[in-house]
Amino acid sequence: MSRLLNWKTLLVVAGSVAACVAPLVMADLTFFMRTVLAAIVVTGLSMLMGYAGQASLGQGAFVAAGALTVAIGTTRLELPPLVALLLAPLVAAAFAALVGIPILRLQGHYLAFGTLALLLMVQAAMSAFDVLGGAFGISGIPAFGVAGTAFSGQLPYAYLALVCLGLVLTLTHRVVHSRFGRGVRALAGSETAAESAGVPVGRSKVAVFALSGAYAGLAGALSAFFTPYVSPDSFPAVESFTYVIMAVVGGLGTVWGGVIGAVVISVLLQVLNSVSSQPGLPPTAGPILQYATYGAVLIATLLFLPRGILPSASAALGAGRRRLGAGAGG
Amino acid sequence: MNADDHNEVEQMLTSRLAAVAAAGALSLTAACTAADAGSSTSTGPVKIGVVVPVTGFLSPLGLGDKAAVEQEVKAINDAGGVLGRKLEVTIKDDKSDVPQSVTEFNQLAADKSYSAILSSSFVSASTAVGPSAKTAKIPIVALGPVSAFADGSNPYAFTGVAVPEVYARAMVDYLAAQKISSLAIGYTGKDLYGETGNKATVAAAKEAGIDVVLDEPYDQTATDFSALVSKVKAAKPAAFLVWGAGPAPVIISKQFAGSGIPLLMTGAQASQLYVKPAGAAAEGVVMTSSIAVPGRELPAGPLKDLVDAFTGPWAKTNAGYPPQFAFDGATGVQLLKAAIEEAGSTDRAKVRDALESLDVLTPTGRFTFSKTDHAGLDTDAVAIVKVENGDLKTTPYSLQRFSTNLPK
Repeated sequence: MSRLLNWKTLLVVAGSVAACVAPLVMADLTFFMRTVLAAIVVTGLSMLMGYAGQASLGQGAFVAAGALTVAIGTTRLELPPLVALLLAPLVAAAFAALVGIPILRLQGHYLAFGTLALLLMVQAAMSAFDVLGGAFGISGIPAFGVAGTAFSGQLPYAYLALVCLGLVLTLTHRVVHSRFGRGVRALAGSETAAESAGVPVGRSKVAVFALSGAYAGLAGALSAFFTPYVSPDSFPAVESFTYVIMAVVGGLGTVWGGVIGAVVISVLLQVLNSVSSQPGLPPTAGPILQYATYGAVLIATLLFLPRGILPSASAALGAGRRRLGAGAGG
Repeated sequence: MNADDHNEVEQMLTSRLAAVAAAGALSLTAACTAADAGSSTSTGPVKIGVVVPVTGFLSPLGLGDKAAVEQEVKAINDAGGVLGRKLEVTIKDDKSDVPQSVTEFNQLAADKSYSAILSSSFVSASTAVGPSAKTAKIPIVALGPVSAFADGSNPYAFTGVAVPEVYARAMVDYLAAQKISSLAIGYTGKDLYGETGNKATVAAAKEAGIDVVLDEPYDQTATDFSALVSKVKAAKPAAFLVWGAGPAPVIISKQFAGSGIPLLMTGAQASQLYVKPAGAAAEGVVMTSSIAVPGRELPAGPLKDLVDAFTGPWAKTNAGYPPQFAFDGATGVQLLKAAIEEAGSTDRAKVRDALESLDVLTPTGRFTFSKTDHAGLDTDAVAIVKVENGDLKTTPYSLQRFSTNLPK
């Protein structure tokens, strides 16, 4: 058992060190940022789907809420960047809680479509109302900085995002293993059973929804500082689908599954991108390859790793250990 | 493994996590200083970036830009490069998507080895990167007509294409000379090209005493414009002007054919990319265009020499006469080359300063930038052309102006 523990610790430390070194050696920090931000969103989504058993195809709506908080806060209300960044997850969480109260009465596929509709409504509102950017979006978001200093270049953003991811993972772990978290986990099994055991079902669902919204809002805020332009086009529905795929591939209901899913799918997309931009291929090759691969990856995961990469891998590792232990004992 | 063990593992992970988070926070400070490393040097190639819509609904623009930029860079290198160094260009595809354009732009701007960037021919995208250019302190020349850059309020942003205000004035001058008394306008709503164009035309028309009987926005991704067409017919204007880009003007031309009302277009249609698909419906359509578009009909002189220097090699690798977007791409490269040579350096700040005092003749006209004029071109850079037998021919009005008002 202790050896297994060392294995896991080693992996986490190695992964963290790699994540901290990567921005220094990578030329394309846009890709790095996107991956880390996706990991933040997917960690929340994985918690929502895996622990609370609620689906969401519209996490982009909360990413948008966070990004808009920063965009409007810094350009119109002239809030300091740090205040806007801290405000973003709160606004996104409040928004999620507000819409969560009616929408979480839906279940299963209906809930998934309800959240997708929410995203589309947010997009429509963003392009219809000039306060939210209108058709031209909001540009001119200042660089992030604290107390008069301003970030220059992309590197500081990469580390800021990593710190935020660290905080999100820590918080997720705490929540999942709290009394509240145990109640929430009971929801995924059976709502009726959870309710009869005294879990406040409605309130718990809204709370988890709000927390996953807060994560998405934080990611949105970071992305608004990194790419200082926010418009409805910044949050396409396909990106929200990608979050779900990342969550499923990484492993629902695990603290680290979101990170693994985000990294695996992002790397895959990047590879496809460079394959499809090879000279001689038609411009449509990119989207076709992307959708085909999404489908293939999703089917392959559900067939061969139904619980996702992380749970399957750790189960395999555990089984291997036990066999090894039995062999040594015999 | 039982539940307690599991918790133990997770707790262990959390403490590690906290340590990693702390380490990350510390490295943040280090990163702030490290980010300034690596800048444009005085040896090696001179590097410029280009972000254009190579794919997506504006791909005709981006493909023209790309081919022209590549041809122009090759020509410059064949002639000895810039500052005696090789000119190196990196072209990124923004997929006709504004957020993608900002992302690609920022990725290029973050690399200090780039001296300047040609921003997207997609006007909304170029407008959106303006503030980023200011933050990254990198001079940009937009390959689309960005009105927001015209007044120089953003010190780093210039526009390398005549802005809608200039086109509008040129069109209204022409209409006034033709004694047109009333005008209807259809324009792309929720698009900067359409909206600024419409606004500028309405203002110029008012000044010239032309009555604008209708100005109606349309959705540029729509495929049926019969509602717009019947509104225009009902308004009975002496002419109908369309401000837009992409496929919509082609469909409008077809649906408007046979109305008996003269149809007017803008520079975005001044190429075979409009004339061919519109076919018979395009015959007789009058439009504003860059002066380079009717280049074959220009009188001999320095401007014609510059146009020929570009169209000659173009004809060898591409079919037909270059579209306006191609000329815009070539002009963009020539402006940056002139600025870098004027600055005698690839330093971003020096290139910016040089751009602001640049006075140079390009295939699309003479640019005279100043602190308060980052648009540079005037109405003498605009020609009025007419579609005749599937070709763009200079109108007698413009031919006459060539003899007195040609950029030199």
